[in-house]
Amino acid sequence: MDWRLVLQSVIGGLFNGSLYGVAAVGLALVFGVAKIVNLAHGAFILLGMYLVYVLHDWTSLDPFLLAFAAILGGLAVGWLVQRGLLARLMATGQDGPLLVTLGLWIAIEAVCAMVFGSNPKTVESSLSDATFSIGPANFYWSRLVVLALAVAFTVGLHWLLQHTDLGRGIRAVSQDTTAAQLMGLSVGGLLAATMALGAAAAFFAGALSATLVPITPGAATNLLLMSFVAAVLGGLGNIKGAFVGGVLIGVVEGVGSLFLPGTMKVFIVFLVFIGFLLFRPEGLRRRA
Amino acid sequence: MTTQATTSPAPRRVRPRRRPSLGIIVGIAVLAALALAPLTGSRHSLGIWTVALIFAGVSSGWAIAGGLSGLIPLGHAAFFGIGGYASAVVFAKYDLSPWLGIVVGMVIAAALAWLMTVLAVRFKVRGPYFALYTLAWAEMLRILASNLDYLGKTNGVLVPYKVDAGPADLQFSDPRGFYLVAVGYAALAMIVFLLVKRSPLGWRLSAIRGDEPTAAASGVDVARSLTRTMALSAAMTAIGGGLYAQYIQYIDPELAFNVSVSIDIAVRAILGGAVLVLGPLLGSVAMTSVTELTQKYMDALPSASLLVLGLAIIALAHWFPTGIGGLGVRLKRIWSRRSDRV
Amino acid sequence: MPLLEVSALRVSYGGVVAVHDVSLSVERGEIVCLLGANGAGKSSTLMAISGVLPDREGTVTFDGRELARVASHEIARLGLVQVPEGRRVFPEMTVAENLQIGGIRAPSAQVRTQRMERSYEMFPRLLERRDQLAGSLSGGEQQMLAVARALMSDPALVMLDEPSLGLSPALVEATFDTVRQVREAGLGVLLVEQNAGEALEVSDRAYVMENGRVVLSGPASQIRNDPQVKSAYLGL
Repeated sequence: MDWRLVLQSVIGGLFNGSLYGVAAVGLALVFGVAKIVNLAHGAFILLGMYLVYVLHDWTSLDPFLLAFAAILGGLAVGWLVQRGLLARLMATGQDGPLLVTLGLWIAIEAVCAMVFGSNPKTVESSLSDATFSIGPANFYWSRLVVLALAVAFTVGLHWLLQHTDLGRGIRAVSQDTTAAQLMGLSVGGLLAATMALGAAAAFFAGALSATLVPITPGAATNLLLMSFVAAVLGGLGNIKGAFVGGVLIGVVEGVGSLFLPGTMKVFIVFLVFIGFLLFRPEGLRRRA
Repeated sequence: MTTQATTSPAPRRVRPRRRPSLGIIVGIAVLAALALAPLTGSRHSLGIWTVALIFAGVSSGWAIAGGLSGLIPLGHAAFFGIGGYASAVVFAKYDLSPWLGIVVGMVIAAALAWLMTVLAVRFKVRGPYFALYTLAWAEMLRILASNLDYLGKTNGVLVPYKVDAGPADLQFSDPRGFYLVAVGYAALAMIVFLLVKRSPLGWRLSAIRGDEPTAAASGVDVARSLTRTMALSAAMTAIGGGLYAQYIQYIDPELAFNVSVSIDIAVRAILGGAVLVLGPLLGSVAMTSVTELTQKYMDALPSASLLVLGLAIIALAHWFPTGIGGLGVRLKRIWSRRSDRV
Repeated sequence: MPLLEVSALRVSYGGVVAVHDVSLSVERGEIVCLLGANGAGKSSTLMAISGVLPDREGTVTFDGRELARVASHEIARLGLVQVPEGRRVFPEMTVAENLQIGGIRAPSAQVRTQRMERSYEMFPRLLERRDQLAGSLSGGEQQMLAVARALMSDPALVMLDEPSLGLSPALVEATFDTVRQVREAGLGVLLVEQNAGEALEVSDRAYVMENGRVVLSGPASQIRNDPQVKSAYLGL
């Protein structure tokens, strides 16, 4: 087997995987705390893409710089969605929240299509053409930047959850909502913060991928599906696991592309996904 | 979707006395009106309503599982697509009647659904995991179909025109022919839904939906109930896929298996009310009407219909958790109270 | 004025009435216990006072303030804290983190650190286990942690729901010692217990609930000698 190709695929997969990972982190956080599968996560990713596109058009700043602005956008959107649309329904404990996120998914995609049309938009980073090589294989610098930013975001979020009062509060709510309430934690506020952080991860993932893929109203679907897979692999609710899951999928995809034609590599990913759902729904994490 | 007080809480030995409910009477009236509708004149929108009715049937098929059992399958495109491909392939490649293809599709879809659900039950894949699990199966089929030469890869399969074709070939010189087939399919799907809902299986499902551990503890065979339900639901959905492929004379991986197809199927049922016989039909009619109206008045913005749909779902979740049909349920309750049901 | 005064409290869960009519009061430096069989409405009473069950009627006054319009997390902030039944520590957080959550409303980081040190003094065992996950502690240790966590908010009144449930006799003894210690610090204690004998021993006053109503109340010594209480709760 061609060494160059193997390197190219595996490391390329790693780069892609970091993007799946950062998207999955947001999904996992929201599931872990609010106990809902956020179907609007893909729509948030899409908003991140278009936000960077618009800001880039307007300011001409480098898209990687603008990704940080996308985080702010995500925080705002997530907070508003939780406060305005989800909070009341979560109390009823039925499928309401799932439906709302489904409706948001459809509506946000539609708004993007109405505003931006279906023609693909592209965002170029100043790094877009620069390459570097590892052994015989060549890679774009921008991919490495994506990997670094994705890791940085995940580490940052993990730190926030582990070492700040906000993070401890969020974890307390995820483990025992009533006890958290009795300890004087504002559960409503913490759920809004959770959704805000989850959406920020989605926006960030979208912003990072804006430089890599043509932006269309359907551009986030693949990332959404991959983040579902990654989040389940990581044990839904587990931040570190979700990121590792994403990287793993990227590598599986990369390796799959060595043996399988065209899009069949994604087939392997879903096969792995189903396997995990069946045999290890708790994900990669070791559990007694 | 969960609703209160509309279904019997536990499995029973004694069958309740059957009487036609308001839902059935309205259902028959609506279907009769739909069947007669094209006779009144304009054929302009016949095609749109043919598709709307096919999807009403498909959604009714979904609702057998998604409404009655409490499972939330998000991958019914798998069964829809299997039906579509089976009917197209049998007709285009083997020159056999697409009706036969539809039956083949039903069998394959039911077998797949059975396998999926056996595994899911065995390994306790439930709730949101089940939704993602079913979605993953549909995605696998989409990828498979777009890579198999036999299925024409991403180009899909064309259903050829046939010289002197007849109803046996599902091709009609008069477009009203196919429309009536669609009415028939929607009616069939609703009847099957109703039969399941009122059968012992339906009572078991209602018990499972209410509280699965209690149902299991009181002797309901959860695994068997769910696998049968999913298989039946898949078979009914496959018919619609087959009809759809024959109607547009074409099927490809995206039309068959895309996530948006799964969502579309589920949304129509949820919009109308997934536990009600009339729900999927109402939802489908509402969705098609919205699409048509927005295209008529806002044709500069082709996605406006999706925006309206998305907002409608959000509004529904807040104010009408039982769907458009929830309104009907209230009427039904008044009706039942008057005729003091068993 | 009593520290906590509850009058004509009525609580329902989704249409089912769990508490019909409860009136009680707790003073500073006083242990008051609320006795009754399973399902008598004791826990519902506590949850309603904490504001977790919003479907309630009647008045709850704490430190001169009516709590009807106060959100549950604000109630904890006012100095009324509950140690819920089953302890409910945050299992996947360390002991130290559990305490930090308890003191999350502390006015400053220094104050919080002081309170943590005070907790470790009171429960040296928790200091040993500081970096262990709370879920891995024994039942008795979890009970200590739950009490310590509640005290982290520097409350004026602590409500304990079945603190001795599931503990060995030695640990039950230790738990009630803790309750006494809490009173010594000048706090009011409202204690819900099924272990009526022990509870009456530490308490100053007692209320007995049946079917969502207070049927008997008075000084603990008097309740202990009530013939009905003797046969129903003390097994004498």
